[in-house]
Amino acid sequence: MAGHAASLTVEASKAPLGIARVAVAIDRVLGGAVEAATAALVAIEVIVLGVGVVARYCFHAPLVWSDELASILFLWLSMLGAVVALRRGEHMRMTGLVSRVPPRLRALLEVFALTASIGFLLLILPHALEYAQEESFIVTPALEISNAWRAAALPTGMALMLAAGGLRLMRSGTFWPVVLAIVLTALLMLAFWLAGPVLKPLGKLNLLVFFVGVVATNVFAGVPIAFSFALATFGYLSLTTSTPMLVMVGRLDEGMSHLILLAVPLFIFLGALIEMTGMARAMIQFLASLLGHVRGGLSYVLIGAMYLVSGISGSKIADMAAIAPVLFPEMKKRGAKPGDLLALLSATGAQTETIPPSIVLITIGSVTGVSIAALFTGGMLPALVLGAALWIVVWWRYRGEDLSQLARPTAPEILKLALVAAPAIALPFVIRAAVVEGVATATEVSTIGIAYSVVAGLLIYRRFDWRRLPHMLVETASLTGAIIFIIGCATAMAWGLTQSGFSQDLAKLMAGVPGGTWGFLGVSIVAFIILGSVLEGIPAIVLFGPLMFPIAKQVGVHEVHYAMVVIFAMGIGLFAPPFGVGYYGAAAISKINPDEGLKFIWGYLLALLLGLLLVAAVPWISIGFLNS
Amino acid sequence: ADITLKFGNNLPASHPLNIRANEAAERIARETDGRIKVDVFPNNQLGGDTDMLSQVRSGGIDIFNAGTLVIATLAPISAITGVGFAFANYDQVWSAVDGPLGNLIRAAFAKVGLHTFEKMWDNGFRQITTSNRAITGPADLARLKIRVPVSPMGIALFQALGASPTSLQFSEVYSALQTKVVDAQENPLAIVETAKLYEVQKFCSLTNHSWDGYHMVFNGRSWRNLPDNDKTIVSRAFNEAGLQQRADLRKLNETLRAQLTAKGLAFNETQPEGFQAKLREAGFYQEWQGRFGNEAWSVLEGTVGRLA
Ligand code: NA
Ligand code: NA
Repeated sequence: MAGHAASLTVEASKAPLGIARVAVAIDRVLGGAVEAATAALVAIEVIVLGVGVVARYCFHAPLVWSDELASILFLWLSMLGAVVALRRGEHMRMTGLVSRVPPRLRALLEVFALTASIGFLLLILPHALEYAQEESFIVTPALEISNAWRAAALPTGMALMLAAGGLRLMRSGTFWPVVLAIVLTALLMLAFWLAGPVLKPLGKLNLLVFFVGVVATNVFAGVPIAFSFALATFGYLSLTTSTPMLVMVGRLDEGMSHLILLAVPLFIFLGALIEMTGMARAMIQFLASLLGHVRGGLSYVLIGAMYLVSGISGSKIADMAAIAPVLFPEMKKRGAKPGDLLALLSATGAQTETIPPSIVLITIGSVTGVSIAALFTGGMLPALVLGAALWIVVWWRYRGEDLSQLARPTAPEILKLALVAAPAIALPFVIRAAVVEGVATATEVSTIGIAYSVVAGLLIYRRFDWRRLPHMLVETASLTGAIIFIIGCATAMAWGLTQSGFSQDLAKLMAGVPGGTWGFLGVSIVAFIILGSVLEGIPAIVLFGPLMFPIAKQVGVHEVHYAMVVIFAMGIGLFAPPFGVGYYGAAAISKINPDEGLKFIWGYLLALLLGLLLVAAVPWISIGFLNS
Repeated sequence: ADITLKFGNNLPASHPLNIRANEAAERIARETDGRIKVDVFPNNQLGGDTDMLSQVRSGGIDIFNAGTLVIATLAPISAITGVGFAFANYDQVWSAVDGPLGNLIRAAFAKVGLHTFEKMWDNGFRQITTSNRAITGPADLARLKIRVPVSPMGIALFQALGASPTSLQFSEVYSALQTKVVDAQENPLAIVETAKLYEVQKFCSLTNHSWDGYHMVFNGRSWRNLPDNDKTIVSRAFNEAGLQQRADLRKLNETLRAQLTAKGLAFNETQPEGFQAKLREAGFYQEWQGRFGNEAWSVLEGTVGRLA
């Protein structure tokens, strides 16, 4: 995974100690076995979902167990993928600060990122075992097997992550940084444990201590994002509440096996297939021949492509996974800075949140009573407005791009490229049609794309490198593990925040803001940006939608209009660093260090914010096309 | 408050269950002079049904409204109140679940460490909505692609009726109905309304094919830790709120029919006999008699008459 600089950089030793050499050998065996298992799981997922679609659509004989099996395997895939990611140092993290400190401190922090993760795994493992044991009393509804088959993935994955982490410490070949980091980790945990009785009476202030203080400290110290969330959540729940800790494991379970997220690995794999079969090249050559002479041309294509595919998979990160491998290599070749690409990709994630059939819109409709059909209609134009805002930034940034070397292709050349690209360009339309025509659900549709790409690769483009398949499958699993594990930990964190009951207090506070309609819209924007960032998007809507929509109605804001405003605000929070899960998803997908995007994203975020203010100020954009 | 109890549920804040639960919470706070506070978390804010079930078992939450089929994954006997076309009306339902059949089920929950309040709350009889045809008898169900929540009982019921039941996450149902991945779904009317399913469906056939309700279950340890007089206060508040919620839902179902008709859903009523005959012929009742055991089955038939 070249260029994936977000990874931990505890390097294999230059002059290995004896212990390091042994660790390398063990790691190779263990790691190889886990990688083989994850590769098999990705392949099996594709087959299970594919068989499900064929049975239902072609044979009218739906398989009632395919979803459940896919969901069980998905948890295993995510947990084992997280093991692979840990072993390779591919869990997303922020290293902006770490890279600026003196070398000795840096060496310590590099190891601390690992020991802090190991610390969490040690704390949670006994509860994961207990959770799996408790779940053995549940019989799954479709397959009618013990739910321990699913839940065992959690302790297994955690134990393997512990092993992989321990082996990495040993492999590092350094001594003092490792010892110091272990001592530091142990001391910090001890200090928190001792402070427990002092913290408990602080009540809701603890939300700030843990979910702002602890999270931020960990993130900026370079601890992987997932483990930063997990440590804060574990600390908060265990020290200041009486929650049994297996609840946290349960939240990881639910957050990581949500079927909609299964689109993530499948679209990642689809993206890799498009690239491997040469479809990506054919597509990009055609697009470049059309737009190559336009400054920033491919950036416009990126925005347009996200607008088109958004809402197909039900998961933004999955949408991105299908687009980034197609566009990014060519854009980089043309001199685009990786950080700018990551920033734009993440920004389009927020921009396209209201495009139907968005799961966010359906969620809002269900928890607040607003018509989902009206939300679907209302969401199209606001997304265009924010898209236009992004276009302006792109135009500004690329206005000086030097395109003098590029020869403008002739019409026959373009036509020829179009013919070559046609089967590849048809893919997104095939996928879209499969969803619109009801062949497959949002989650399943990726299998149709995969089947199409395999056929096109074998028969049309005649490029299908079988030897690369295992590598692609493992890569998919590792990325999936890194992304889904963050989402699982964010789900647990959201539970911690929710159960505190802070939402009622905050809603009361927001309703009391002066300034009538405008004051309320303003405070809603600020609040939902923050909430979207710390609550992983949709949970923010579920928690605050029912509280805020009635107030919106009272102050005279149309519900559909208000929905658009809060969705975009939430989206900006979700896709903005340093806490937004979506931002790290985009970084993982594009294999670009999250640090690199920091410099570039503020321009896009500012544009989105201005677009959002326009959407907030002009209700017509959201409700002008509604029937009644 | 000395004790804060968390009540997690999967229904919108405006559903009668949440309105009555909030009233019960106020009453408990009043009658205990603020010693006990009940926080109500609607809308799956604390997790999906299966996870809330695991939370109420471990004590992550204290109270959970367990749907009969959800908790059947832990105590299979619970599904017996969902047997297809078993209850002819609400009188039969309440006399069964407030009486011997309910006691049998609550005893099974006690065995897995859960305390259960005596009065069940209502979710409603389940009805079928479709985009392509009204269901008037079992023949209309033939090969109908219908979304059914995954449970052995629900799936067996629709397979026995000749339909093609499909498993889909609830969050995918609206889109799946809109794009016709499936043609039909079945739920109580309140869900058809709150999930806006009428926007993507044409017909609503009042089949009353299965009754659905909620057991109010309480974490065993946290229940035992309550002082006895508080137990009485909490029980009374929840049981009486449950009775009021039953009445609310009955009224709601009447107004919903008119409301949904106005929104373009075409209603039709059906007779159970044809469906029951088809189920009998397919061996459905016999199979489930075997699964629940003769004792439980005869308690059920004691209320509703002969089924198998
Ligand atoms: Na989640
Ligand atoms: Na979407």
